[in-house]
Amino acid sequence: MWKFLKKLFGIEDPPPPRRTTYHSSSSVSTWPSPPSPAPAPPPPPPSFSAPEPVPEPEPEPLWSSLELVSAPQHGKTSFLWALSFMARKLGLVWPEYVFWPQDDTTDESFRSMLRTMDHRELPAEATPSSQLRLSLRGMERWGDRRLFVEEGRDPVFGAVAEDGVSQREFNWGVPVCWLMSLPDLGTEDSQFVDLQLDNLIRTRMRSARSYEGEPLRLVVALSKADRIPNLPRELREYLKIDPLAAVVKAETALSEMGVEPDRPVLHFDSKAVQLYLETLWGVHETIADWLRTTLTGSLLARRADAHQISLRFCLISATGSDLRSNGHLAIPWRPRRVLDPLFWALELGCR
Amino acid sequence: MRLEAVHLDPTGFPMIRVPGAHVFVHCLPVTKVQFEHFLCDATDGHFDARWYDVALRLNPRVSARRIWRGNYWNAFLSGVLPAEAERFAAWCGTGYRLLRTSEWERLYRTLDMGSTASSLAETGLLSQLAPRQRELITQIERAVEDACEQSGDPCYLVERMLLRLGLLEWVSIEGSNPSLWAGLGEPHPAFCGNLFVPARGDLIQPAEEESSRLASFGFRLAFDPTMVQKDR
Repeated sequence: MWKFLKKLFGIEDPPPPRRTTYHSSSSVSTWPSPPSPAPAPPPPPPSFSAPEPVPEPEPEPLWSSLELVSAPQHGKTSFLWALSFMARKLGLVWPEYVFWPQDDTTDESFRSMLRTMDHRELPAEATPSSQLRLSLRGMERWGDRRLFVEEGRDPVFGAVAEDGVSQREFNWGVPVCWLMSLPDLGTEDSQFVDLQLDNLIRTRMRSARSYEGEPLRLVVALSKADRIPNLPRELREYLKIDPLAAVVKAETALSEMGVEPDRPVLHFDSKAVQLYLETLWGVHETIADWLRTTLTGSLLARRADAHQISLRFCLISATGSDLRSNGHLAIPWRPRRVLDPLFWALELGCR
Repeated sequence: MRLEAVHLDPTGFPMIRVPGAHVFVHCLPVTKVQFEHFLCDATDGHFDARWYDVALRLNPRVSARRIWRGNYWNAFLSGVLPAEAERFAAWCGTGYRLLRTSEWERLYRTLDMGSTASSLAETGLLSQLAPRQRELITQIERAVEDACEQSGDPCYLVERMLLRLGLLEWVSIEGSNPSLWAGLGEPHPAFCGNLFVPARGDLIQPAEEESSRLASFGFRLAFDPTMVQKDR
């Protein structure tokens, strides 16, 4: 199967220790154009209180990947749509950036998704399994990657086969994004999230990889954050004021006026990326502090510490609002901060 | 901040004069209590019991004593179309109309930047009201205070008058925009998830604004006294 997928995706030499099979999975994966070198040693933990100089980009991009897990109805498909949409728009901020679907099937799927978004439609509750394979070239700081978006079974929260074993193979060697919609938890039980994390860890431990050798790197993305009623004001402001979303909005406004921007509207250079990541780190800390004020958050942090999990928090809103009419959005999609989980994955994936 | 000029609409709810403008504006979005006065008078068949049932399905009713931070938006009339809001304005009398975008934004800026009142009572707004109106407004204000405390938001007049954490409010668009109507406001996230920034003129223009009922859309009215003088 791997040989087939390699041929299908045009992968020549992925590093053996990081090999994974994207089979019947639910994942967002990025990996560099082949050939790839062996992974570099982990960088020191970021210290954003005293910003360090931006490290020189690696001569060859590193293998990097993000696996996605989510309970049903926590906004996974909307997130994947919004992520693909925004990944396409990065050319507005990176002058060297090129984006393209890798094959005709992906091209058609991608166009179909864009048409659907353009009509303000939302994903159906039971979205058929779909795949998107995109090439992302010339990203500041991270270089070239391929973004592989596939939706199917979820090994942690999704359907489990009759024999009790999840059907999909999961790449536990890469950062895992846990998409969690606080407004949709559907319970007042403070231990619910803790038990879900326990479930995730157990699933990880059942995998063939050594947990001690490769502890979990977990990005907890709070989805549907526009609906969280007690979200601290600074986090809500962070979502509202998304510079990348503002660039997309500016481009749309220019297009409507018949003006084509001839250069990136905003230059997201190495300094800007570093600043963005510093802000991202600050947001992570603010979310962690906020969650720790609740029993749910304390339990989550305690278990993460006990299992030496590298935990990163971020928050996203795929649609930007919940203004609906007859199953459609009443206003256009306005994705906010949906690239943050990908940025975290690219950073954590360098380890 | 004490509001010197207060005007009561035909249902006894207060309107304040916007500083720098000659119009009065409802202190809160129009409530179901106000609209029910109009429904009792409406005789053309459009605003019948079925119409109100649809509105209540979108945003249920709540009595003043049961209002709290998790449902205070139920006190307001929403799911209303712009033309229907205009009908209510016409029923209120000469000089009443929906706000224009510039008026709404000016009110927002004034209350956001210039207000230091710690309660609506402090502004003198409530002193002229009948008990029923006073109780409803007071309960809503308490609920908003709680909601602000929960999220760590400040609770200034812009929140107390629900230009923030209230509804999306229909306003008439000025200038060359092809649409006639848009929404301005920032509803409470538990009522309608959103990241709207009304302070930056974030006009919300739903598709089919003339025909689609949206639970989070309500309105408040402006009253222009000069129109009454002209009418005479």
